[in-house]
Amino acid sequence: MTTMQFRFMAIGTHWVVDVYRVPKELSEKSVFAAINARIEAYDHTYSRFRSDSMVHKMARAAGTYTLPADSEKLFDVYKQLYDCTNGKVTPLVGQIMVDAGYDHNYSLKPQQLTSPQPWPEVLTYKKNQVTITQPVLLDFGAGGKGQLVDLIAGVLEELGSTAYCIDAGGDILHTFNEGKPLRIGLEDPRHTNKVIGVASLKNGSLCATAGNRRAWRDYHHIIDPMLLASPRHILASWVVADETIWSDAIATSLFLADARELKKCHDFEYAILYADYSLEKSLNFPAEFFIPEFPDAKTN
Amino acid sequence: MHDDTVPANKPNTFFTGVIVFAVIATLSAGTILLQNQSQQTDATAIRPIRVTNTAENSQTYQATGNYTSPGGPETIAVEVTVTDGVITNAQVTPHAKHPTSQKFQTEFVDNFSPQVIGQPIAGLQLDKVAGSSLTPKGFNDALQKIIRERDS
Repeated sequence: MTTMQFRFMAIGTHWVVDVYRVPKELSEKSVFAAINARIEAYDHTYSRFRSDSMVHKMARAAGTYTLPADSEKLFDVYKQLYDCTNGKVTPLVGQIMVDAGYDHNYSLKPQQLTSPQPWPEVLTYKKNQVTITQPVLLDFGAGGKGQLVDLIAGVLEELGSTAYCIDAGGDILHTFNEGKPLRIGLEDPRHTNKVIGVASLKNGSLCATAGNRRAWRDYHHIIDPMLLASPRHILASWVVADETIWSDAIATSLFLADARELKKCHDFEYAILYADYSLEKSLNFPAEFFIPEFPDAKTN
Repeated sequence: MHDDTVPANKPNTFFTGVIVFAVIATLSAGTILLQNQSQQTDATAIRPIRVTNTAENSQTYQATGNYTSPGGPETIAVEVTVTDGVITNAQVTPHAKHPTSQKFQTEFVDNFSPQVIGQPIAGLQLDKVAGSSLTPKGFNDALQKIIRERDS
């Protein structure tokens, strides 16, 4: 067994894939090729940012489309979140993102936004067969990257690795049974050279969402489909769950819906940093946070 | 009432006291945000006591604060857990008798959460940092462009 590390850009973010245990006979080149192929296949299906994707094809014509097998899980997660948030989490926000200016050219010039139609009127799916009653631009920004991280884990396991850490721009899946827990700094969104706490992750997935980087004019990358505005009351959220698709999607969903609503969908631990720097966290979120020391404490 | 024990660490005791002060100051002001934690009030009946050793380097303290509302004397309970000198958990339990005080205390408890500050990454041993994803160059270029347009 040997170790490998890959650093690269894909789907618009930086990746670091550490493979702690991988069979010796595998070359770095072949492992990287397998990772790349999986990312490319996923991007080719779900990316809103490339004109040759399946998602773009669906934005041009109604009909029934055959998607890859992984689509069933993706739609299942989105449908459950849609149902437990009264439609606030929905993949039908693609056109809203484009109208706000977050399009494949990054025009960043907002136009008039319109709320999406209810899911049941537009989209049905059975396994990987997806039927849309009208052309619709789907957006999997909430959970797509998380699912891709889970799928890369599947690639590594098929290659014979059982210990790895996949970090896709801060969406992290860590599997290392005998190793030390991963110490993950929770970035202060207003001062990115600082962290507000340190999480400890053994086996599982931690995802972060914040509105500080993908932000332009009045918007950031999360837009409430009913209010047609980017939520400003939350600066950042962090979620730990069993699967990265869930932790990624729930971290975004916390900007739109209450944690109690979301708990009906799936089990998770979370922390939310509000705009006034107050903190809300679930009982077992595995992190310590830096609470200010009171100036008089030393003199008493 | 619990048996009084001498807290092992005096600053930790002080944290508890300060939080109780802050709770009372906040309730007196009728707001629900914990602010200005160093603010002193004349509340005197705070007796922080160590109640449990929840884990190594971690201790839980409880205290009851008394204060006088326009409707008469009231109490509120505070429990904090201190790990390595840092408050890692804080819980406030309303004990108010007067309906208005009950409302204020309940609102406070529903919204109470400690405020956090950042520490420089440079001083910490971290394997990773999790925040918003770094953005692609195309996005940053486009953003710079609209900022230039706005400023010109």
